[in-house]
Amino acid sequence: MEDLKNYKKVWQDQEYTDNQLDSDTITKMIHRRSSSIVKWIFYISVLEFAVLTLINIFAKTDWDELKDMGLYHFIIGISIITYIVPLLFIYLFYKNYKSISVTNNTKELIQSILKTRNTVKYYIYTILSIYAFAILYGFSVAIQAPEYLDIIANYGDNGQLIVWGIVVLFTFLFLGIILLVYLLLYGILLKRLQANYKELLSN
Amino acid sequence: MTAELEQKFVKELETNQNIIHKVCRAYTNNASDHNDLFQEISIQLWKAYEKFRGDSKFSTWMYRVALNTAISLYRKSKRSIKTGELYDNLSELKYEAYDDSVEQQLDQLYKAIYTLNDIEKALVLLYLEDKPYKDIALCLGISEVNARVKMNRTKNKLKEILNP
Repeated sequence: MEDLKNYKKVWQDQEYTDNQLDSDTITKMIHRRSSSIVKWIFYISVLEFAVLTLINIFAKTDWDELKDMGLYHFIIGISIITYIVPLLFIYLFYKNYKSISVTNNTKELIQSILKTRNTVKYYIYTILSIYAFAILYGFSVAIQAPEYLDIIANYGDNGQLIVWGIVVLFTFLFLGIILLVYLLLYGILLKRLQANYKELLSN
Repeated sequence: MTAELEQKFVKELETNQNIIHKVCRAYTNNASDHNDLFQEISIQLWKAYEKFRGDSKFSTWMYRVALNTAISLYRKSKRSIKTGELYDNLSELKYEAYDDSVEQQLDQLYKAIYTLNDIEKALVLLYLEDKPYKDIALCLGISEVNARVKMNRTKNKLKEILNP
């Protein structure tokens, strides 16, 4: 390692002479806005919570029709869950976000960033699962209504099976596309961080 | 935070700014990214300064925050250029060395470091600063044994790049 020892000396003797920043410049600099990945994660996560919560609030529901279909209690239950779940996740997200500290060691820092991000990921998974369940359960009840039974009868003996197949396919296709776009964005944002974490954990 | 504390911090950062410049030069490859990373590190240092208790030297603490920012928080810009053009045309980034051959060696060293991955860069920087393995392990959050294994591998890699 003799060669590297020589480089060590060169390294330690170096003096950065140009572009030295004076105290005025440094003072201005420290009051600028951080553009760190943690800030991005925070903004994106808040946006995700806001969008999903707004969809919940503004989703138009025809209560009378749902009552007729026998889905009233089911929809009430789902609505309560979709209000409680975000609150629970927002609390977890905030708790994890606060635990991110740049003065931790590198491993702990990366872990806390990934944990914060994962909270939002699990939130999306939970909400999407609730939606998938609600769509499928809602459909299974709705399909019993006489007007739907007539439509199904038009498809012949396998009518029930065909209609179910179409509904399940579209439900999963719809959720699959949302998930794919989401994971792609998520992957791009955290690619470097995950690679560094893997490298740190390797032997 | 008080104006007095801010003044104290700015003074310390000004005195120790070479540490940040070294980290920036190792993790970026053009002057604009260098300045971006410098700014992000300064912001992170200032945010964390209130909790700095002086248990360790300011420079050691600064190294940890600077490396953490470079490894985990900094978002590389799209303008990063390919290796090989590193700082070549950037006259504003000059490091003073005692003669040309030393200057050349330093340039060669930075170019070699830039080809390493983010964790290897941190290991090499801490090695070049003569930090003990115990501190390196503490800084990265890995065991001392693992730090030694990784360091040996990284040193060999660096040696190969420097003496092909």
